[in-house]
Amino acid sequence: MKLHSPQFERALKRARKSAIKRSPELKREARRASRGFRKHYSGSMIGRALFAGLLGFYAWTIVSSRGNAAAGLALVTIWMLSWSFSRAQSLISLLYQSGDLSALSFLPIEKPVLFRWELQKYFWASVMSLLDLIAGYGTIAVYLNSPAAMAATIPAAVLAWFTMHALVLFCASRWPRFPYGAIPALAIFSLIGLGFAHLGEHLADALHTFGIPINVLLPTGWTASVFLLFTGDHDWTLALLLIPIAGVLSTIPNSLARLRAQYDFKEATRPEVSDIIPQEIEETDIATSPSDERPLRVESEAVEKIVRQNLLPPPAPWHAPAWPEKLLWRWLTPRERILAEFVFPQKIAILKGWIKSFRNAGIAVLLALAVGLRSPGWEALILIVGLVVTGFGTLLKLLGSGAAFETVNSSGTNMPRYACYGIGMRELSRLLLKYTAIQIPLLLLLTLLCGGLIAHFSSSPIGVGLLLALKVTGLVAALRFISLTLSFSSCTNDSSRFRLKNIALVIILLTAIGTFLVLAAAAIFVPDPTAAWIMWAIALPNAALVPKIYAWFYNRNWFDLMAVPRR
Amino acid sequence: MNIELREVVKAYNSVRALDRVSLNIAAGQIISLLGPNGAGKTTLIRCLAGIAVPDRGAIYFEGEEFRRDRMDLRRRMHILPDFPALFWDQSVLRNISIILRLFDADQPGAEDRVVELLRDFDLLPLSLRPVNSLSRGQAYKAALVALIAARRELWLLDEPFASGMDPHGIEAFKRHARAAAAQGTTILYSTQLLDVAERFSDRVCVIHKGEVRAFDTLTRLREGARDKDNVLEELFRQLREDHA
Repeated sequence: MKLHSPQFERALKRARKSAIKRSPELKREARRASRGFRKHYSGSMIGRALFAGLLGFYAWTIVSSRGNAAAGLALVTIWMLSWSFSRAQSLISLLYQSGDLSALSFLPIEKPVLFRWELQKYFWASVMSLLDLIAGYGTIAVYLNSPAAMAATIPAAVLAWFTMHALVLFCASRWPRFPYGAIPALAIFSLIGLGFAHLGEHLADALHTFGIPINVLLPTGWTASVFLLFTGDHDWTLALLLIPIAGVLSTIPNSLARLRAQYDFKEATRPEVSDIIPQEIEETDIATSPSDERPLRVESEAVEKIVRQNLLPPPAPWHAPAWPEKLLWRWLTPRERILAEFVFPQKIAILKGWIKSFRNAGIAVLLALAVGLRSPGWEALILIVGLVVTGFGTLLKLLGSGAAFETVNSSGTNMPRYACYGIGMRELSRLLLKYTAIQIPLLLLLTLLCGGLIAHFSSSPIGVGLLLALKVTGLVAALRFISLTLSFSSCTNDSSRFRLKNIALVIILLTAIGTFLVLAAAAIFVPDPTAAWIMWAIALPNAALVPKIYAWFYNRNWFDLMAVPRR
Repeated sequence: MNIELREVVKAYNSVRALDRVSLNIAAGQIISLLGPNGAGKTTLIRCLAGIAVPDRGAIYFEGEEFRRDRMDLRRRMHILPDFPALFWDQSVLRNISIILRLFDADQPGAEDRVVELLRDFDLLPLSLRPVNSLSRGQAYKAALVALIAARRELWLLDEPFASGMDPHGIEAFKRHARAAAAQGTTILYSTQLLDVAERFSDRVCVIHKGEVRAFDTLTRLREGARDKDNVLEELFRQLREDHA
């Protein structure tokens, strides 16, 4: 389905071409314009294909290590189930929040056409998931060297793909408000988790034990169960699963009809927002009594008074600060305090975030203990999963940059907001480094706690866990230097031009960052403790060097503080 | 602030946005940058603000070469892009407060100045509203109030007259800009509105395909023109004819 007329577009192109041909000046202009235009290729297709390859690789690994095709297929089944949640979220987003909807709603297009247009976009975007299925089923067929399975791979993948989409349409049409998007992250995580040797073994064991029930119970595994028949498993009762598959597929017309009937796109309008009253005068000047609800608008006479009194209050720390915020405020220079208002215009809550991290770590420990009581040997696995999830959240807090690197779109380019107000790289960097540095004691406490617990649960000496925690703290803190550099770089065109200067910058930066990563990995994995600590000691100043190198290029005006938005 | 551009070249891929641009701008002048779409006006403004970097040539402020690490020079200017770099979920008041502080322009008495400016731009009743609840023109006015109140020596404005401001706002902007220029502020703005440029500038700079085609006062430009009443229109007609 196309919204435009291909014939008309072809005619238009022909007319344009002949108009340009007739005029030498236009010919020159067109040549000039096309020289400046570079075709952009999206890397997401390649990334998605690589991901399918990874799924195939894991399926192969499981089948080869356990000699059980059902275990490998169960992995594909779980992945497709989580992927179907993601697709359900995408379908709802496309139908109701797609970027082109507001533009299309201004055109004389009927709702059924709009619905078909968005639905078509959804199906095109889902094609790559077919690759996952082909990779999953195909690698298992190749491993088993079964010609029947190889021949059945593509039909089975197509059938599984349609079953998955029937489920997606069924769910999206009946429960459109369900938070489908929250679920797939876990599956992606567990897939990455397979890379960890310890975790991989446990998961492979579980898939080996429960492979067949997983494939039979989960709807995304029904086709996999049928596929199993072609791999040499001759439990023909599995063929009965074709009945529920047919049942699910038969719901497609009804689900589509429901979605179409419910489809009523309306442009989202923001509700009227109330005036933002400065904290200090909110209660005394505006509300007449504590029981009064705050009015949406402040009286005109009061506005002038508020503006006069509150336009320029002395720089103050964020509202109701806790001790890390207070400490940070005291450490900042007067200029950095001003920049802190710019970077964190709302409020900053360092301690609150850390309390959440400690709470999450506590939950992981309790969960590990509870699981350990029932299935000994699984505590360490649960603990590692919980602590890694906690760690990712903590990293985001530690490397937070507030609004420092937000950009504004101006005449087709993105410019960093800080560049419009005479803010320098050095001063902004110092503020953000202090912001991270103030959190290091909290990070150390968390890593020591995690290190100690992991050592305890994996029956290693506690001292080893604590020393590892110390190393991790240093390396994670040093990551700030790298993330800072990359944040500055993301708002520039430093790597988008093929010039010696830019190539030199990219090579030097990649070398410095790569060296840090190698040293960091060596500091953790090298068995000789002395060598590992030496690597650690070199890695930290190496990371600190990265923003200094970048600043040298930055201050010599070797690139613009603007970037062409990514398509 | 005196500005000098010497043989400035700036290219995006194979397109020369600025081609050996040399200009001398004296302090206290209002300069309008004119030119067809894609002529290089915005690039010139960005180069002056340190956002874009010339490939060749140099820019001098008060005789000193401008580089990105010259924070002393960068803090003496204020750029206002076509879409202002504001905190959209914060109130007008908070935005102005943050900007004044960043430019160290929050000395005692600034409140009165800001209140008067808000009143002038019809923003006083809206000053507690979040910027994202205002119309485009109102948001631009909020950014203008901050720019005027910050009292920098160089104002760089990209298309201020295509910002959605109402006639009253435009009139207030012109009035404040004239007053600032009288006190030595240099004002550079880009526009496509020839009649605005004719009435509201001390010198006009016409750029075409990255080259400066004219940079002079209107009086001087009129001297050499056939149609003295529509000198800028004639200039643009000429550019198109040269182009053809």
